[in-house]
Amino acid sequence: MCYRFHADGHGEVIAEETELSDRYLGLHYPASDIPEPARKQFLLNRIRIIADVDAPISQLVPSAALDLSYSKLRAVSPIHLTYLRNMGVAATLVLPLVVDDTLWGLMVCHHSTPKLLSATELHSAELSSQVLELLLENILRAERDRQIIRTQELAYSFAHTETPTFELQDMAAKLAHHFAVDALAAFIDGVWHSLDNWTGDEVDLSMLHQKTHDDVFITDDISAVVGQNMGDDLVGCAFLSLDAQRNDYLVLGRKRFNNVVSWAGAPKKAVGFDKDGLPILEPRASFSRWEQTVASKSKPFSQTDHLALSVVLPSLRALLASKKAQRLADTASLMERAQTDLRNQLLNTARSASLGELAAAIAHELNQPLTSISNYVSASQLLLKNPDEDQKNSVIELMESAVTEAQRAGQIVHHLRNLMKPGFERKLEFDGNDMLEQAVRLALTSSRQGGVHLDLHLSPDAPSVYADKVQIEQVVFNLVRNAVEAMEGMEERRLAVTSKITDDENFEVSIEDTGAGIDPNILPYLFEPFRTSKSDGMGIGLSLCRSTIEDHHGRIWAAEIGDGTRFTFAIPLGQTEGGNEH
Amino acid sequence: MSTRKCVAIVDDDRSVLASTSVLLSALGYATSQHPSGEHFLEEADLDRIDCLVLDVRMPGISGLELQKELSDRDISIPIVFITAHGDIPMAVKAIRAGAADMIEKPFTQGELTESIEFSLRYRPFSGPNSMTRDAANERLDRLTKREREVFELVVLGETNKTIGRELEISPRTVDVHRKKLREKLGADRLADLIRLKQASG
Repeated sequence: MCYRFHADGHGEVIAEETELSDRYLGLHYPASDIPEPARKQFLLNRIRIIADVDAPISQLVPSAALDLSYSKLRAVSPIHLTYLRNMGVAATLVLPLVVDDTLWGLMVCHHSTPKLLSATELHSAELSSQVLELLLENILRAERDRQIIRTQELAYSFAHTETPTFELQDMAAKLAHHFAVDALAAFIDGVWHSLDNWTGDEVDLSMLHQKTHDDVFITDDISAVVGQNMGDDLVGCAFLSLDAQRNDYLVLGRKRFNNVVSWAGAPKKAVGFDKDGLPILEPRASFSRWEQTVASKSKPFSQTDHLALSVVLPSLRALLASKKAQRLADTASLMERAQTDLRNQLLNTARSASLGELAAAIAHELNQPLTSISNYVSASQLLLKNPDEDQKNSVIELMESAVTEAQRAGQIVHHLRNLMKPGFERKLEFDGNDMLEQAVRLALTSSRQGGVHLDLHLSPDAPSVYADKVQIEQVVFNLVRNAVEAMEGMEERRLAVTSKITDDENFEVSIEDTGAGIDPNILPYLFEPFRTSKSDGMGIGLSLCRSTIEDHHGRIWAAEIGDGTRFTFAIPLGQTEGGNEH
Repeated sequence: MSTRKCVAIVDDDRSVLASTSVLLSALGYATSQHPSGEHFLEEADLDRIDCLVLDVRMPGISGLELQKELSDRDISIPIVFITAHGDIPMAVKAIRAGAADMIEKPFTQGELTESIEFSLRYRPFSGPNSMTRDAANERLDRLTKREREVFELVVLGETNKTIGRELEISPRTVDVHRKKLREKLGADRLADLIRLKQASG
């Protein structure tokens, strides 16, 4: 079975495969069932085997202090053995699942009779759990990144409000929907606003300003924090500091949630005392379902919610700032500053939206290692069933390949995560040709059309570029995707990508297609935002490319060539300062 | 001569190529590996190959182009296409052009073997696979109006989510219709549905 730890340390069986009638699926186990020392052990040792719970324990007589932390043969606590006997288990194999350096859960295999596994079986079990861990890590991160992308889109929609006379109420409704909250209120310039569905009275929550982390505070039990509820059964709260002076704030409330937890046995240890009066820990004998209703809390806000709230916060602030500025619009400079803020916000969020597309392409790439892992693991399964010993030995090799593939998946996800880091400057030195080749390949595989012939002419000397790699990668990605789209349905589809180091120390890249060319009417406005010749898309792609390149003190231009178009950009090679205003 | 069936695999991703080959060997097939369509055309022993497992999206000759090239040369090796999520419309083209079946990456061992075994039995121009226009339409007439609407979108390779949005019903409801119509049409695989659509005119 697969056992997952919750935030408070208690565990739940989330998957199960068994031939027995006893089912544990969906049952919760109190945190004390797996005490802290055992948890520490699971972080150190990636496998724990008890081949026979009734095997006699051998005493060691060491001549000096002996550290058995890493010993796989170390006996376990007699309490744990009693616990297992009470469950009717004679042998166990436990594979801890460690994700982001914390104990996420356990893969637990039970056997009702003693069972000794061979070294090969143990080794392949260990490797399988490594694969599982890496995949799990990737899934959890991908899930989080997906939510962040969605939030960035929301932030974009705020920053992109056409009418500057937006209403607080509209924003509140969007936020309530996005974060699945029941009610919303704001405290701005000394005035309380009951927004989306907030029917209770005004509450003073200003003390929460001090508790924020990244200007956000979350709890599923507000009375435990401020000593009172927010009324109307709202017990969960996400709190956002809206200004640097710590006056204004926004509250997102969640209602009480009746959560029925099915425990495996009443979650209390039977405690007795030995003859010296010391407590005897006695594991419970019954594991039958015992239901408890927890009714004081809301559905929890997750760490991802926390992160997502801090992502959306800057555009909320920009919006409120512009609204304030409007209200106080007696000085022109204030208005101007708010508009510049808003424009910068817009640009940043547009950048994130376009990152989303690059991210989708990279996520698509994940299918390759996932397919390979699935193949290797399936092949291992088949070989393990084969009685031939030689075949069994090759299992290790296959599982190692699976681990390598899982690591490759990990690298892809790592790349993805780098893209998601919210907008501070990420300039670094990199090989321009490497970057170019990777971005072109990614754009080609992610576009729907195959059969594009690629001519890659890279400069003979590797150009060492100092720039924001992710952003330049995005520019290449956009230009190649445009080129491929321009060649859709053409007889000849040829893409020529060239890099060179110019005499004035620029890294110059040109991308030539054999596509339909550009309408001469559009050419002068090509890099202006919201001009597009395509039926879909916002028409910000090229304007984004230009702003990125100009941020790098470079330039970008387009030219008609015989049959097709050439886009070229050039950025200074060893730039070490200036640029990007984030 | 060996009685083992020989499966050729063409995929530009080296590890997918190698691992698929390892898996098929463990399942008892003989395999040959080709990192590109060009490599397959130059190196493959076409007389020995019983089935071709082919990636849709590759640089150089794409999967669809290789399929066309083989058909132009009158080589009728059954083809199982491997697609990635989002490539389904391309796979629909492939089935129309006579491919036996298609599976989506990442696929399970079961899906792969089932597809290969299906393709080994598959004869494009004879037997139960070829269907007259009338027979196809007679079967499609068994569907309700809503099932027919779902069917028309399914054979375009649309997902439950997109179909749901189009027809303004929930993806779950789409799934129920999808199962029901497969049952009524006696067609388990998407490839069969596409062929049925094609036969219907």
